[in-house]
Amino acid sequence: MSGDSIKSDPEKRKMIDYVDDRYAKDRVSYVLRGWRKAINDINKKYSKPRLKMTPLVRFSLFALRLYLIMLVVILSYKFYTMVR
Amino acid sequence: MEGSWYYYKYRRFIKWLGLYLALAGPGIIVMVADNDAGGITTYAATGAKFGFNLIWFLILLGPVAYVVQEMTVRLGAVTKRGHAEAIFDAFGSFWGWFSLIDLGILDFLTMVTEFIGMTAALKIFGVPPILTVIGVSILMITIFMHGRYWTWEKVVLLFCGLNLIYVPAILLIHPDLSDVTKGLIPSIPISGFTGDFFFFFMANIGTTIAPWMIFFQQSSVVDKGMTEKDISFGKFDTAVGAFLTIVVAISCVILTGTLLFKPGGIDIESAAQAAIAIKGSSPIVGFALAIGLFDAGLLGAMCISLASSWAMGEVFGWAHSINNKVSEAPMFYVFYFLSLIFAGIVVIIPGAPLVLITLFVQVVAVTLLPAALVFLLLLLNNEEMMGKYKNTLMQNILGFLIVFTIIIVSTLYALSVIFPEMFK
Repeated sequence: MSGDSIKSDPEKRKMIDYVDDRYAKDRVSYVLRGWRKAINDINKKYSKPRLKMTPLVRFSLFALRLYLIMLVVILSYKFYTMVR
Repeated sequence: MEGSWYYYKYRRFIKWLGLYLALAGPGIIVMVADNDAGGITTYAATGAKFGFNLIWFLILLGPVAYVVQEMTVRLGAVTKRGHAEAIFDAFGSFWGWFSLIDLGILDFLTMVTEFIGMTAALKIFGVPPILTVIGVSILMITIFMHGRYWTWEKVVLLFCGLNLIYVPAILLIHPDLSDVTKGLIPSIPISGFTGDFFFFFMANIGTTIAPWMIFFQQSSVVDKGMTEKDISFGKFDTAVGAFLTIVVAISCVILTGTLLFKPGGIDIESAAQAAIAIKGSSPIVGFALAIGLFDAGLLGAMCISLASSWAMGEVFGWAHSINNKVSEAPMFYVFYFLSLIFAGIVVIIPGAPLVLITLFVQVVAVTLLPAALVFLLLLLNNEEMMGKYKNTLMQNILGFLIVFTIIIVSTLYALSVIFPEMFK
């Protein structure tokens, strides 16, 4: 059976499209799985901070968190006033 | 007899200079690239608005940049890790991801601003933006794909040399030296401490230290293979770079201060606008400003795209050295090419919100800069990691003072961008 006759048969064409679609989806999910695994590995590798949590380090990280929350609040306020 | 002594000294200096240039980088590169398209625009606008009044302040910014960047040399040479990897390792994955994602977004947006600067500069010569984007992308990919760190570094050094174009340009315009000298003495303009003055004050500090500089220099120290014994050279190299960056900044201020400044000041939106204005009265100087702006954008784009690629490579464990061939480090190169190409595409999309992107860069920068600086100081104080290279008391006093000031001022600067009426 030649390639042309396969393409002209709607049933077979449908089947080829289905297989192509599955293959593409598998490829995407394969890549996504790969990224997820890489991210999980990184999270596992760096799950515990190596730096000793002295009071100075704790305070600095706490201050940074506060600073970032403040920025988020300011940006949200700006966004709200712009939208309004 | 005296003549031959001078000749001997001259020969020795030339030999020393040749040796230095063979070894130079990355300190000199990161510092000169700090005068990127955004930086040149800030300096050009400062000169047009306040004349020579802020020269003294620019001189102070040299040592400030040196103190911060010198720490990245020590950290990179001792730990053999880039800043992104060091943050993951020392502070855990939460702060690691925060820094990496923020750096990626910020670097991409900054790359777009570099392309905006380059396209605006070459437009003065009649080059359409699309040609600039294609030409620059090909040039950067060609330089990058050579497969040797040393070659990449020396080519970039050539572009650093071109950044000094403002110095000969000054000689053509004969600025009033007594006025320039007055600018060296700390003072505020006759108009007083106005909102505009404060805005420019903050903008100049904001351009002095950018997050990508910290990540770039630490990663390049590692890629170059610098070790503890190279720290003194790295410090010297960074000091030379800090000196050059201030020379360029002051030259740019003198150019626009001489040719554009009028009592009351003139508002300049971009360095390209300044170049066009100057071109009318002094074509060569106008073209020099445009060439300098293009070069500044190119240098910035070269270093910024590399800073992100190194950071991604370090964290994801990809091979990430310029010494690797494309086949040896495919993901590192793919990330570099994609960030470069997408940033270029954004600039040539009709109706793209380029002004908004330029302003947004300042806002995103303040989400990362404080964290990057604080992490740097904490890492430099860790004896287990740094050994005898940890910060001394004096370095800590200076470091904390500078970091605290930069955080406060850059935050105020970002707030003034978000709320433009705030300091009016």
